Amino acid sequence: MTRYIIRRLLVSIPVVFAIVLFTFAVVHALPGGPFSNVGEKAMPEQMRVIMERRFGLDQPLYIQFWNYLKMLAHGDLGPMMRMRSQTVNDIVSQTWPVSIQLGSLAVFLAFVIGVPAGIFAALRRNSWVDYTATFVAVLGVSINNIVLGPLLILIFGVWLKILPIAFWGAEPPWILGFLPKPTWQFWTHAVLPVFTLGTAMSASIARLTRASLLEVLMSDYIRTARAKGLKERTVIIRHALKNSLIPVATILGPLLAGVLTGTFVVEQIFALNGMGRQFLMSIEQREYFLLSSLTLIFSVMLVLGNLFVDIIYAWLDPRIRYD
Amino acid sequence: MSRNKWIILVLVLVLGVVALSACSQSTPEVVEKVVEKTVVVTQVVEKEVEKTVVVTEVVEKEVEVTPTPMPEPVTLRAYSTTDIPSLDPQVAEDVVSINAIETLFVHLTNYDLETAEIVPETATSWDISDDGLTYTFHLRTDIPWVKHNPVTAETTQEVDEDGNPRFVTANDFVYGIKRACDPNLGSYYSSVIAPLIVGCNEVLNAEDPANIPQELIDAIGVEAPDDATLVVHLNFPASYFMSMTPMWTLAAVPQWAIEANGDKWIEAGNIVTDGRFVLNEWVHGVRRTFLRNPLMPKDMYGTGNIEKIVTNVVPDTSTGYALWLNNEVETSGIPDAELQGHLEKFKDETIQVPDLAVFYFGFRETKPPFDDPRVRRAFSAAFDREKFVQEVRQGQGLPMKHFAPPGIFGAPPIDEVGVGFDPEFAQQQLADAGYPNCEGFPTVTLLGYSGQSTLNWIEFAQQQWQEHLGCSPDVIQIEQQSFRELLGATAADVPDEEAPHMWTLGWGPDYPDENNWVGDVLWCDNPGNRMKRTCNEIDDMIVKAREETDPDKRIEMYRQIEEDFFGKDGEMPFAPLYLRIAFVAQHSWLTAPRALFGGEQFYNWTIDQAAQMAAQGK
Amino acid sequence: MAAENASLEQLGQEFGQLRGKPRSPMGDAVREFKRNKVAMLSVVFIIVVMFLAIFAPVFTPYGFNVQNTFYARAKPLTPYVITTDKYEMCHWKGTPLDFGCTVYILGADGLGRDILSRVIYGSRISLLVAIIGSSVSLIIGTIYGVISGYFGGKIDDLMMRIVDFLWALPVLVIIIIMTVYFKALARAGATGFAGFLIDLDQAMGGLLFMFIAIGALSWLGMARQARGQILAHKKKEYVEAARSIGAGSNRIIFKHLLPNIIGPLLVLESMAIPGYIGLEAFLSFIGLGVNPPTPSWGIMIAEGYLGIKSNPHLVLVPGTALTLLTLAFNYMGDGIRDAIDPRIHGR
Repeated sequence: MTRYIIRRLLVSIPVVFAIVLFTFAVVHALPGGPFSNVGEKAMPEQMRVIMERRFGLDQPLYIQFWNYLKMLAHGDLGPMMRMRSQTVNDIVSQTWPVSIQLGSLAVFLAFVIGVPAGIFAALRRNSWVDYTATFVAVLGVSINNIVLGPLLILIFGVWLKILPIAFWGAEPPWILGFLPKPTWQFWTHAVLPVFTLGTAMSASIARLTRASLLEVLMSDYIRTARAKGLKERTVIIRHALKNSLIPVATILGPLLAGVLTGTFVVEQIFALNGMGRQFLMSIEQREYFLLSSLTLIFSVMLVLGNLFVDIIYAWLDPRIRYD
Repeated sequence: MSRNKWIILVLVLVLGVVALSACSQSTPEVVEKVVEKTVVVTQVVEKEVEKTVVVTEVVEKEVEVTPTPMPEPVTLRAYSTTDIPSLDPQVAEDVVSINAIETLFVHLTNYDLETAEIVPETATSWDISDDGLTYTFHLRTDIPWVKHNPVTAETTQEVDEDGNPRFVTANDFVYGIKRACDPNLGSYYSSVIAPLIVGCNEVLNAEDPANIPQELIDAIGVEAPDDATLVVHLNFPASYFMSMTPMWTLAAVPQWAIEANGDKWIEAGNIVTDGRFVLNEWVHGVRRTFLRNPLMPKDMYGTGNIEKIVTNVVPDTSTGYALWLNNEVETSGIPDAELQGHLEKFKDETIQVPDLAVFYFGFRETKPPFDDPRVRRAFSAAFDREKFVQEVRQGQGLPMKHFAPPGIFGAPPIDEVGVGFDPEFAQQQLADAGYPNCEGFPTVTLLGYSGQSTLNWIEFAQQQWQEHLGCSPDVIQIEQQSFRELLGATAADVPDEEAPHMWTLGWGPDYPDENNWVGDVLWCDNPGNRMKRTCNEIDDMIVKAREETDPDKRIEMYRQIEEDFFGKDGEMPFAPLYLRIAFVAQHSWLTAPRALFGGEQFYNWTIDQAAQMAAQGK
Repeated sequence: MAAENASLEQLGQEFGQLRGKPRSPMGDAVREFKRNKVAMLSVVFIIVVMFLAIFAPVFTPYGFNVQNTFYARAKPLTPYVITTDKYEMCHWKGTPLDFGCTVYILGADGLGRDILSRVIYGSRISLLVAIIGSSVSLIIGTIYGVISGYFGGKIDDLMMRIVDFLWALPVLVIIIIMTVYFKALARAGATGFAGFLIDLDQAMGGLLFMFIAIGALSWLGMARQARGQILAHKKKEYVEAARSIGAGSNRIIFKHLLPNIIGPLLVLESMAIPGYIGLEAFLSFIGLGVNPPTPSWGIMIAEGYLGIKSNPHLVLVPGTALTLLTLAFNYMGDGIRDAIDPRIHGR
């Protein structure tokens, strides 16, 4: 298992490298640069040249890339070219935790709602409970974040006025570098963004749980268990549930990607200072180092996330073995 | 499958996510803290124009407050659409930075809020030599340099190596101005002041910026004969120099602090300031808080009563406006789509804020068919500005026929110069150019920038040109890019094939003089010549008007220049559209006179705290 | 209990199938699908939307870009009062109506454009993305996966390495960067093939580059699935039999393998459609979508969101349309899956 993990990690390195190279090449190919203009005015040529030289942008691209890699090797994600009192490391340490908190709360919510709902629907198959749950789940999968976010703001923020509609309720400095101070304010501010992000996820988890449990319930070993005369309750809890949750673990992979997409929108709608917002900003402002570094972080997160899912999967299902 | 695995998995999940709540129990002091989340943000009403007027909104955020006997400071709660790009006076280029700098630093002089005249600030008086080339400022010397400790919330005066308290002196201004000439700062505004001040251009354009010879720096025409006297030498008798003296670029800065901390000298805890407020907190991308500077001389306090400014970052006006509705900020811009409903419900809590920004459709003068002035005149005259302002802008503006708006020295009265909307003239001109009824007109592109409001404009324009010129929408291809992309696409060095034929932009003034309009935007020799104008007699006149010392003659010359640009036979490098006057939501407990130039003067704003608290149910 | 009923049901079906005449797997699937009322309803809904989209000019009272700023942000069901002849008369397809009638059934946007018309036109974008996105992914993915799986060995290794590699990309990040790049490219202009593509993109209102960006990475799952299916089938007796009577690779792939594996691929693809629709809406929402004035639901939501406090209908109408269409595609996907995959009957 350890060898498998190490091999996977080694294989990932060229992947991540290629992604960073690709991003680096594309953003530098975009017309305009960080110093091409100031507001609506053109930056005087002389100053543009000086600033570009200062950040090494006058060098051939491969040298720039090599310098960037050297920076990365030292744990330096690069300078900010416009807001020069900060570095990319500063920006990442401020905004990444927000995205992590938002994402993990949403995933947590998704499991807490999704799994019980799926189980309940499967056990009451073809009853009105099942139909309702199924419909709500399909609806939940179908409603886009860009619709749900504004809708929740409208209902709970504007009409009912019971929940805050903007900001994340916690801010740097973070506890242990990434955890929020769990104040009342933090939780109230988290409700709407987390629900916006978590709804679609919990809906798909509910659907998957239901389908998976139904399949297990029809399987031979459950019939055997029943035939042995075990109580229905025991059959379901001891035998069916466990196995039916294995496929649910696999959804973690796509879920991670979904969290990524979701945070882009949710951070925008709820004015959260997260990494997605920084990403969109960095493209627009041609903050080359920030953009490349954020892409790097997204890629590493995805690689590690996929690996994590595979490991969990193998761990849960004895039939799967990696070597 | 072992049960243990499940238990561990669940444990890990629960621990991982719920660690958050676990922390809450281990840190009880957090709970006891008075959570008093006040946030003030300065908001750029719309981000389209580089130097848009900023509206600062103050809002209080409802937060549970444990009963405290201490009176709450009078707090302005505002929001801003971005983090502060820079707090360095010589580096700042945008309105959010400039507002913050106006709050934290004193300047050489100030703008009067009502008349936009130059009034004393650090300089209490000034003399101008007869040849108009030497400006002597007499400075007050009782303004302390202070540093604020965000942790202890204490503000202390800086001391020099000998332990003497530091006050703002003429030398600090000399350092600041010389610094502004340094090309290594990479600030646009360096190029605005450089042509005026003796020796500044030479430094700014030094051959080897990495090693600028000390002689060149010493040759810059600013000197401090004593702590209370600042002398500035100009290259030519620019009568508008006085109107530039309140600019942030010319402000004094603390040399020792900058040298100690480099680029990070502006961070909270490092920054040394000399203004009415100090920087108490700067959570990047989230919030900044300013507190009154207790060490400021009392006569510089300003007319307002605000003791604390809390500014949250809210990326869009829509959310900001919702905060206003919830009484969480004092004032807010109003999204176009909300305006109608807002005016119906909150007529009394609406003010009109002119920001002197004028918007236009630029034409690429070198790209056919817009190389023909008749085509440009036709497209300009076929746009119904009145209807546009009333129906698309919902009354937020005044139609413009020429460029510089009232309030600018040298600008002609609003209705006297320029063609404006005249469909018959437009059709005639287009026919004269060889495209009667738009027949045979080639496909042209119109570039707008992202944001619903400009989308509306270019779509509206498309229809105007269909209605009044007969050009089908297929002929006018509209496209939308981000603001930055648009600037890149229209830059003068972009080849014609790649540039759009037309685009939307606006201009907001840096200082109240016509030269900042025709000289810095239209003049053929300015680096941002997006229209790709070739130099002609008008440009000679622009240069002459710049150096003219007789005010009446200058007014006369600028009227002629505007006529030559936008009259019936005008060159029409762009089609001026309207002067923006924004409706701004503002709660009745705030009295906030807005600044037409420079940063907002929060120290002159007043809040009726009782009413403000009552609205929050306190 | 519930589960036992299910297996009885299944048993019954199996008996029923035994009694009838021989049926093809596809025929079974179609029959099964038809019995699924919700799925059928969804298909009918989608067909209606397609019909509306294709014949949008006939069904919309106004064009998507007819502006009447006098009625900017009109609420739904605003009665039309003719106060001046300066503005367009109330009309139906160009014929003025002189009796009182209601325009703007669903209200008007910031330029006084009829929202109903724009929503109907907007469905074109969503449907196009659904159709083209899924076809591109199905075609590329199937071809790729079949080649990889059928020929095996080194080719398979290499091809799957590539897929594994692309699979690890943060898709959304790449798509955003590509879209920004294409848009910048389109603006900067180009010659030759790139110029041709740009012209084509302009003609399609900015859709082409979005398709390229979406299509570039969406086929990966399909390729994996197709390869897996091929691997499972190519050792089966019927393939061996075909090979033993001398059938060539082409014949085996197209005549024998494809018809047998296409079912699961269709299932997978139909489940992916809502994702494409959502992606387009998302890109449009953040300003990377189609060019104006082409209406897209994502753009309409982004515009309406700015004014949601006083004009919720500007978001609710396109939002509802987007949700309903996605819902229908989801139900249809479920229906197809249930019909094709007999293991999971009657879910």
